[in-house]
Amino acid sequence: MAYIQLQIDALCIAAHRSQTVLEAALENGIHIPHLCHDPRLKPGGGCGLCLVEIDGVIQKACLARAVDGIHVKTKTDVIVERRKKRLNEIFADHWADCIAPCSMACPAGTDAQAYIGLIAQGRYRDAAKFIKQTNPMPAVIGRICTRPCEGNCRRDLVDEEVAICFLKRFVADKDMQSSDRFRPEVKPPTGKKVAIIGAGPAGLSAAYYLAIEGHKPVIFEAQPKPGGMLRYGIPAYRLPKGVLDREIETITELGVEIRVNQALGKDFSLEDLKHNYDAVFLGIGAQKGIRLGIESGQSGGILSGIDFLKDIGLGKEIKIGERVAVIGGGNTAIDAARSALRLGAKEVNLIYRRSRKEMPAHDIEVEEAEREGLKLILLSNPTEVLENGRVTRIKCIRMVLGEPDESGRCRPEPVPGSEFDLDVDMVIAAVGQAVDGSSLNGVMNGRGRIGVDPKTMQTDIEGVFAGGDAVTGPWVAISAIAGGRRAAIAIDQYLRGEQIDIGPEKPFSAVKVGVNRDNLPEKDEKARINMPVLSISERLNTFAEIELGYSEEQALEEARRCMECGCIKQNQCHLRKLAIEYDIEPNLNGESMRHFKIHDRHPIILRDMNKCILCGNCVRICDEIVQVQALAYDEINNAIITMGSTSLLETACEACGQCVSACPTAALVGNMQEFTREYFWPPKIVETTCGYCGVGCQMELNIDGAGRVFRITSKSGRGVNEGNLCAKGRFGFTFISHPDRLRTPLIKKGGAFVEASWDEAIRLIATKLYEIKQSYGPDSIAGLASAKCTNEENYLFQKFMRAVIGSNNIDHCARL
Amino acid sequence: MAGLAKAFGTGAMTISIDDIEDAKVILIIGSNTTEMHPIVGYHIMRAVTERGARLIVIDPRRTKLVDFADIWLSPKPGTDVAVLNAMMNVILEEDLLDESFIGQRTEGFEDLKAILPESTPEKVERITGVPAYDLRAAARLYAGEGRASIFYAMGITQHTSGTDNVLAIANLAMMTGNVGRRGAGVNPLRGQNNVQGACDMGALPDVLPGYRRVSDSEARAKFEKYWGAVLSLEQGLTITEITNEAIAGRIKALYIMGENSVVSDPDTNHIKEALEKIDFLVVQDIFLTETAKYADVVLPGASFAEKDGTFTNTERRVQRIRKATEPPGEAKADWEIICELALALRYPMKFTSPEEIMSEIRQLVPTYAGITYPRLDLHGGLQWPCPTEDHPGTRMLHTENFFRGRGLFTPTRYRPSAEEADLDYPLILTTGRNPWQYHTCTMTGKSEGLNELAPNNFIEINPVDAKKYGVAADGEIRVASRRGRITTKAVVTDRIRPGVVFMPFHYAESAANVLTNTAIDPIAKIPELKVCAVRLENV
Repeated sequence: MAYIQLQIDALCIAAHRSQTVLEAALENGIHIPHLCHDPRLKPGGGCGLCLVEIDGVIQKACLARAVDGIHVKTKTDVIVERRKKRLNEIFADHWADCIAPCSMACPAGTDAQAYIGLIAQGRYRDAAKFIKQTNPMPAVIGRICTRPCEGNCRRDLVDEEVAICFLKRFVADKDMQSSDRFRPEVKPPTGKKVAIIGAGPAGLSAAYYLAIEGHKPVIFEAQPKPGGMLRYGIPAYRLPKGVLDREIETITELGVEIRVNQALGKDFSLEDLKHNYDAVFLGIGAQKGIRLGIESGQSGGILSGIDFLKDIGLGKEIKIGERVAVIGGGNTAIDAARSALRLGAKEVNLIYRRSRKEMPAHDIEVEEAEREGLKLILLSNPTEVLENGRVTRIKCIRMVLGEPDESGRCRPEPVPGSEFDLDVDMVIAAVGQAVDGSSLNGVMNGRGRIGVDPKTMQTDIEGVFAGGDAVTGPWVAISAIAGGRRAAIAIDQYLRGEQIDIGPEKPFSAVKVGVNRDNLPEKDEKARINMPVLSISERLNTFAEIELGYSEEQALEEARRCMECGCIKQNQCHLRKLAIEYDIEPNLNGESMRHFKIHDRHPIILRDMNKCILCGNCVRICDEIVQVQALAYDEINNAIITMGSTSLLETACEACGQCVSACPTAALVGNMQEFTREYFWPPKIVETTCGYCGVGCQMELNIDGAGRVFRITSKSGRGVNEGNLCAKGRFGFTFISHPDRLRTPLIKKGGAFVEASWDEAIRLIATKLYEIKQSYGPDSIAGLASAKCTNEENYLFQKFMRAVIGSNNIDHCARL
Repeated sequence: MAGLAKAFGTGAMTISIDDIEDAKVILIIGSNTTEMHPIVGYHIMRAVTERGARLIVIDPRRTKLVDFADIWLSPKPGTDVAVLNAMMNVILEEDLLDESFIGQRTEGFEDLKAILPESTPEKVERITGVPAYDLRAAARLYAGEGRASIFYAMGITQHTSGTDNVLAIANLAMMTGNVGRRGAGVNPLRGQNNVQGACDMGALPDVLPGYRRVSDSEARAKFEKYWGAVLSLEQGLTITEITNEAIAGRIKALYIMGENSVVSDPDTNHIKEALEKIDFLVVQDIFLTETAKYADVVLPGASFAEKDGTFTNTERRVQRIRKATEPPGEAKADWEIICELALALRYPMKFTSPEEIMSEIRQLVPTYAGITYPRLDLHGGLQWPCPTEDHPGTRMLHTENFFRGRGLFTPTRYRPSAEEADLDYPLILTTGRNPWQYHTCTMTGKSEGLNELAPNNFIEINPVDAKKYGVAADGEIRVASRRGRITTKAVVTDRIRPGVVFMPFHYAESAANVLTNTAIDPIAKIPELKVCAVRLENV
């Protein structure tokens, strides 16, 4: 026999003499990294990753023959180093994004490209489902987020960034109002209970994802209602309480219990919870207002920003001053100022020590506040608050910006002799927040926050996890939501007794640094759709929501502005998988990389040579199998080009897409229609037989979440076609979900087709055929079957003609 | 179909696609393989470039395979019998035949031998335009290397001499012993995914499932018993006959499942007349096709992605299709519709799945008896004959005996096409397909990328003819036959021989089948889509 034995790592395997070491390994389920191996092609060795050590010598496994008795090592230190070096070389010339920049910028990693694509397809429920994979509160976040995603949106290079957040809000509201809104599937109960302290975004998020895993979360909340800063820190004109309540309901309905008016240190202790629950999550936020340090008297005339907002949230009666000074430049300061205006303050001044540019508050919020009447007093700092039973004046000093400090912002320095006074009767200080760790001995770190291991989200106490502002310090809500979710993953692993490994905070992604408009797909300029808002006069004296939300038409129009920057193969790319496996850092030196123009004008094939690893598979499959040589390797420029460097359409290219099937990355992909590139969910794969010519190629239908065939693939080596497909087989599938498909029976009445029920149509046909058969005999009826239909259907059809009608008048057009 | 069935006992590809590369010589006749069956084309090209096989291409068009060929014969369309007879003449003259194969495996050779002397290469050169030297070379190459395989497609069958063409191919293969051996065979390539299966299932007017003739009373009795119905012993009408009978008013009702006859059948105007004349027309399809527009009732069917079932490929391999998604709206799988209709006519056709239908097929068609869904899932397909559940399927036919026992030689003489070029219509039009559209564009025309690659019709004209008739490259040109005229774009190319023009038939807007002839082969009843006379007129 031609069979031999060899040892790969610790395994002894049998192989065929004609096999290479790589083939023998793969056949036996042994993983050797490789990118250019394709059973349809002769070994090329181009990727250089399948290095193995054979009897002490390092060789490429795809070129080494399997020989009796050899010993192969697949992962020695030297080999790992060389593979890493090779991968780094590849990424040093890979000017591309794996993941869209908007998604990389999101603290929760929510992929806006994915849900915008779903919105564009009108799949609102799917979009909500997708968002909720990383964010259980899209209606809330869609209203209040600071939108780091939009700051990174590439559309900005064409005209303006896509209104990602407005779209998120649109689809969250849409789904919420739907009779068939998305509800996650909850796994069977595990019997494990998790105590969560704090019903803010971190705690709610942790509870949501733990509940989905079948655990029982119980939230302890100090305030009378859940929501944390979302309820007590964000004014209702930005986030109506009803929206918050409804979205919290979508969490509690999964079996999450919330116990309100339960304060840590007063009503229970951490020890109690540790004793009674299988795990504890601390999501207490950073709710303690930092004091200004210039208060002099006992009048209580200076209120902290968050206390002020909380009092409003609690519905307390507020005695608002006539002339209010708000100190600070962040979102809380702006929220406080705008709330003060709504409560009837005649004049509200915001005092900030740096310039407008340095204000951490969201630009649009500052602009809107100014429109509502807020006055900014910039480059000024309060030095003293004067009181006379109550606040009367505030003393300030002018500032000037000096050298940058450790935060990167310029340090403000007082200008001697520039003091000035301001008449006020109320001062609100919103200069920062801190974690109240008074009841949390043992978990606080030196920076006044709860310390956790970022890989496990666990504190120094086993079984006690934390996330959100309590860990990061005061930051945006979406970050707290991300923290809660990551902690939930860790807690789930902990409860299952697994090693806790929640992976890196940011997934691996190559980054396309230095993109300008010339490198982008051609797009006509199209302005961002403005958010409809309440007029200024409608806003005063009320906390009614200012932003009214997109209409469906507006949302669809805005969604179509997305440039779909993320790679459509990001979750199937062998190169990216290896980058993750070998812990490769993305190369950020866009300058030194080669920049290729993306060829996206071919009707079927999209070529992005920035993603090419020069394995040569495309050139070889076009030459060895298709034998048309439409592609070539350009030695001088070390690049894959079309033959003659012309447009692919002018070469001998048959548009079969064999090159696409052989490409290990996304340098060659099908040029799919916009917003049909469903890369983000694993497709349902159904193996079937091609419906075109008589060869009967085996192929895989890739079905998207809407049940549509969105791609056809094949398994290399499989079927009569060995994984090869032609242009029709690979790309001729969009007819399946074409809008012109017949959907109901049609009956012609008065020369025009009218939709009919099956009953009506079948009854009409049966009656007519019966009458004709009675009057003219069975041979007055004929039937044409089809070579497109199945054996079973052709069989039934001829049986129908012969046994039911009684005639042999049956034929089909494709007799050979 | 009819030709091979007569010669061998069954009309199917005798080898497997996997075996193609075992051939030492490959003869392609009437098949633009790399464009129409690209996967088979890959094997043929690889046989040539990697395995050193020799290649003969017989085609009026310079197809891509001509670039790989040792010999290219470019006969006038419709003269294939003459070409094949000339090759056999040379084989006989030069004693290149396989006498032991002829003696042990075949019958009727003397009849063939009797007619061959008249087909000398010199005489055939005058009929076909192929040089006698090339005919001799092709014959020597085909017969001289051992292990020769022939592949053919619609370029052979869509003629009034279609059956003769196939018989001549069978004669050539048998006289050189090139059937039933490794690397040797006679291989029709099916143009549509389930032509083989539709024929196997008896969707033909003369045979029941499994090719039992309707006149065979024993066969009829078996089916009558199983189906609980009395069956007609009269052979039914073929498509072309149905059309004619409809015009004559004798076909009153027509039920069409998944065919777009208005575009696919010859002489479009003739078909339209028939469809208008019919009292009651039912069309079941996935789109409102050109044909469906004539219907009284249109029923929405399911596409191949929306139902379960099996297709049988060109190498007799039965393979599964699987339901991947729901049909749109209220559309249903064709089998469900047929069952409902039968039930409405009080016939108990109660199947709940295609697998149940296959169980019935297995009872009635012996070659399918061993084919079950679980086995198909396990093996990825089974080639018939597969008579029992432990049978592995049949990779190659006729290895020891022909299906009919001995292979039968049937002498065939060249007959001119029904319509030849003349002074009024001086050019021969031959039709075919392009690689990006399929049949009548029902599917590919609705698949964006493909349709963009080949959105419009065109006509290929040799530069000599272009000059002669004053045709400008890429210009609009009117093409007229005795049946109609259409306007299309001229492509001037030496891919086509002088005196012949080529058009794909896919496009309803300027349908080539407005021009084609309904003349049919007397036995197979296939229309002569590959030859008709046309003239070019300036627009």
